[in-house]
Amino acid sequence: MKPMATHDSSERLGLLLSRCSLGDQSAFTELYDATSAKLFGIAFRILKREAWAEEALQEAYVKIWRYADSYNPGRGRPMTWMINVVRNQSLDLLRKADYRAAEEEWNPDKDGRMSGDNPAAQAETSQEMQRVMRCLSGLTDEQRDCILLSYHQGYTPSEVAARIDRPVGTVKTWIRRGLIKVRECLDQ
Amino acid sequence: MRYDDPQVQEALAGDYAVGALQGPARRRLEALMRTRPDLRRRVEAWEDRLTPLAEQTPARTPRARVFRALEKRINPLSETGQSSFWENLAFWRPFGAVAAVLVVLLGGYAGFIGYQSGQQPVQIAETAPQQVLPSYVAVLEDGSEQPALVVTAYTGPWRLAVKPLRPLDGEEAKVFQVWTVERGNGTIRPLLQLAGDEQTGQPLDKGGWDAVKSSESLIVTLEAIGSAAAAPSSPVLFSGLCINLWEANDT
Repeated sequence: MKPMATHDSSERLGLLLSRCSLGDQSAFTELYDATSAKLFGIAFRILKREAWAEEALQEAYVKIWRYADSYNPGRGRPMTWMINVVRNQSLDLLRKADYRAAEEEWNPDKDGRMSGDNPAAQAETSQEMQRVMRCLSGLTDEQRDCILLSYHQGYTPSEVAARIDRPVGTVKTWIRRGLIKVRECLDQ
Repeated sequence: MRYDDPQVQEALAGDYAVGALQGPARRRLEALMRTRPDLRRRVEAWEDRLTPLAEQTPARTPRARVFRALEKRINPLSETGQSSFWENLAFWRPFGAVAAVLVVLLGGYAGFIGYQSGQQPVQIAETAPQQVLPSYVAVLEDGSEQPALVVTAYTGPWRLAVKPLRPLDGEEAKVFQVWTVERGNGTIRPLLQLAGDEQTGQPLDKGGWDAVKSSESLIVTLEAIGSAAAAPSSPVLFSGLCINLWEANDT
């Protein structure tokens, strides 16, 4: 199953979503083939167990199928919409069951600081991703790590605080100040 | 109102999108997004900003059984007994419906205020818009998390409004009883009876207002007409968090 390239696939994904909203199951199959590996990777990164990630993926695709007509092309790319459906589904599942998978040691160099450090990986990223990574690189290490732990691993501020041995309030402040900086950087 | 503060909205939206909002705070924001398009737009903007981060996540092929299960669930001819999962997908649909309901309720309440003061409703809305904002809102869902009705409580004067979002399956000689469930101890108190599918409202006395103020959630059961039961005598049909729109608890 081959993940879709970022730029030339948006139109096709939008069309597939439109067909899904009309009940076209063959379009759903195409959509699943084109996007499931990427979306499953995102669910797995948050939930860390295959069975849980599969459950989140399944629920997310049912939402995508049923609410395909609520996707608004004016708001962003189809993949953005689907990624957030699966992220929110994964976070809900994570929090609902108060579930923490067997801890996978988080490696910030691998997860968050690839920008600038890994030209090969960076070359494969979209321009949007590169912009975000460039903005993240302008943060302090603490701000960046807290944001990435929350975003990629679904960690709550309390969990981040326990992991990096800092007060929860400090972590919340780092996240918020970091996000403000990211927004300002992206708006430039 | 706290949620009218753009800085608060922005901070909560960022926290939500990054995944740092948890538990009741996360649920409260999701409930608010259903009735606050401005807040929802901020969350969407943050999701858009951060989504490129997710795109660097390595792809991972799910097992074939995932798609087989999906095929059964999206095929309307398949009777696999999984309808409960379908019904779980209530998050995206209610935005428009609930927002529309609140507009109706607010408009109706503006009229109520106007009638009380001898002014035209439009004048009230123009001169004192804050007066018609609800203080509490609860979106009550059935066991499959499908929204069934919206309950809103207003102050000045205390008043409750109930709006069914869809036809409710009642029983002969029974009414829908709305109860408050007190925060902390779970004490249940009767609040209002709903005869059918019609929108209804009633003034609240101090006891009723205090019950709403102290409630964690609202529930609905079917009770016999004319009964003055002190506790539910039948299973809970609908339930939902009672959200105080004016208090600061998230940050």
